[in-house]
Amino acid sequence: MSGLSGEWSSIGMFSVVLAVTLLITGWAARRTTTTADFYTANRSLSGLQNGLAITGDYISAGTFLGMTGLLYDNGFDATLYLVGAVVAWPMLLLLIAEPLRNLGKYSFADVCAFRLDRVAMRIFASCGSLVVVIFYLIGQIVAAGALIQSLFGMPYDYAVILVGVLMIVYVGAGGMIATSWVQIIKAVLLLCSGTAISFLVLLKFDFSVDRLLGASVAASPHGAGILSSGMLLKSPTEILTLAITLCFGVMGLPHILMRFFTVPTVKAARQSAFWATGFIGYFFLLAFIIGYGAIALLPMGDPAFFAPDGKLLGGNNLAAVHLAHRVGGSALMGFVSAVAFATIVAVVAGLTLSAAATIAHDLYGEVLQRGAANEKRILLLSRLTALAIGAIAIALGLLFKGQNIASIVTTALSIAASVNFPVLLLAIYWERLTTRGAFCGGMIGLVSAVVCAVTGPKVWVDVLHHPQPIFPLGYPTLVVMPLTFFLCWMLSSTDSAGKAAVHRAAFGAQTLRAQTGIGAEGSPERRS
Amino acid sequence: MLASATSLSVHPAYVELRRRRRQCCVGLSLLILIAYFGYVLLLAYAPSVLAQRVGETRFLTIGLLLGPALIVLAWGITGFYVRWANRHFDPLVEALARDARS
Repeated sequence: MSGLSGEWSSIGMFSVVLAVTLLITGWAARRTTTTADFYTANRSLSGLQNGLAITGDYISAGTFLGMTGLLYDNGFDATLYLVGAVVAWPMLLLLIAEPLRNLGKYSFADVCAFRLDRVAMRIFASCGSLVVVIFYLIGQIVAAGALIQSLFGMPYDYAVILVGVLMIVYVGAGGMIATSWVQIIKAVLLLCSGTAISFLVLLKFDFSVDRLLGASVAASPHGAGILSSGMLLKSPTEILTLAITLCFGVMGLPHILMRFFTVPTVKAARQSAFWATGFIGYFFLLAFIIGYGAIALLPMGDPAFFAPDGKLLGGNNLAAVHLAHRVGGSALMGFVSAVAFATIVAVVAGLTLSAAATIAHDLYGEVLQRGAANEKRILLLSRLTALAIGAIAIALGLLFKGQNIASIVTTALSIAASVNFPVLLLAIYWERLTTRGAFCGGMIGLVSAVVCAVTGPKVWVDVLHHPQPIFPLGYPTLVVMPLTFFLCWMLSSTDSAGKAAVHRAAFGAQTLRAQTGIGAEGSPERRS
Repeated sequence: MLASATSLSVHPAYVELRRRRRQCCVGLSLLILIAYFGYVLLLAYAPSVLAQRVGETRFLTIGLLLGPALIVLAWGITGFYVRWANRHFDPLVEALARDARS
């Protein structure tokens, strides 16, 4: 670790990133006076800006470093993560993005509650959001602590507290305006650093992918095994579970869905999904090159990169950082480290903001105060919530120290795919959905998903150290997603209460608004 | 003054919009889902197909070609949809919004 910590170039770049983001937060704080500013940056972002911000939200440190590390370790199997994570985007655009933008105000709970019972649906959506956000947040903050520890030599506990405090400052003071601009800057830096590393790697192989792969096979202890499946994903069930989780999980991630409210029109929302898919796809294509490049260019046992016990310095999650050092020297490494740091605080800020929206807007404003709450109070409560979530995140980060980041984040994605996605999809497209079906189906799904995740091998065995898992699958998606769909369908179809008929009758008006945006925030007929 | 939701819901532009959007979204979703799950099923049940090299003396495999190809396809589909929606859906929505205002 001594080879990494205390590098002046890293610390210098890190300070620049910190200073710039804090300046932005100060600027944004003066512009944040209403709840619309706080949650949606007053719908002021362009499609391209929001596309970059989505890219920033989606490519977390766990993704950038975790996926390249996974590829470095396991070869071909890790590429399913890259492919699945991009395929999710056309699905999101085609099925969810526009109705969501047209029906909602600040969060996807608005959409679930549009024609169904406001209180019940907001309680469900808030629970679904908070569970997903908290799992996701644990993954990010554990990654943050471990990364900062190995990059800058700061002790893990201090690193977690530093990230927690920073995110409270970004979100509490600057709201969505600060969070968006931190994401945009970070996304641009991330794309630049990925491009630089890939360019320099390919330069070493005369821009021949074939030569790069040949060198990886020659350098890897697994030889040609890195070009075929079997090292990471052991069974067809495991592959299917992961594929479904990746493809549908995004459609239930509250902090990603929330980004579609930051643009002025549905056309801009559409364009932001297009830009986001392009940037994310481009970056994940680079990840193939970075992963195989790390295998080829970080040969086992090189004392510059490996500890005497044969492990990569700072863990395999740092393969991309070491590769940057190898091909671009300490300047590029410092740059990549600073970008990784910016990535962490930005994603954590986005998650915190969506949790604050859930608690202050959905639970306090709409459920407790029945939509009659004073805006100033909601804004104050939002800032206090950011503070509380920050404190909780710090505590969880300290508690979960040393856990596997990729499996915590995938668990969050799996719960999102099993619970939030089915209810959101049915609320938008299925006329016969009733409050009973959506609320009971969603809640039972949520409890099942959490129980299965906790008693499955990833938590029960890996975290709690029991010898055998109770639930056999790593992630609950394959079982719980169909279960939630089935329960929503069954409990709705058999619902003959008077209210059910009223909610079904409202479907036509909901579809009109979902399809056209007429009556929505910033809708076409209001802009005359 | 807004026209009532009932009169808009039978408006020819709205009926046309819903029909076109359904065709477009269902078609494109099926395209990407079939391509993606086709790839996933190969990975799960016939991994040796994906591990095949594209040439005798080469290292590039079919899987390492198809994976990136799916990423490019995903982007292509979003691009196609955005162009299509801007060209065909937005004018219909504009027409509806005009009638809703009048």
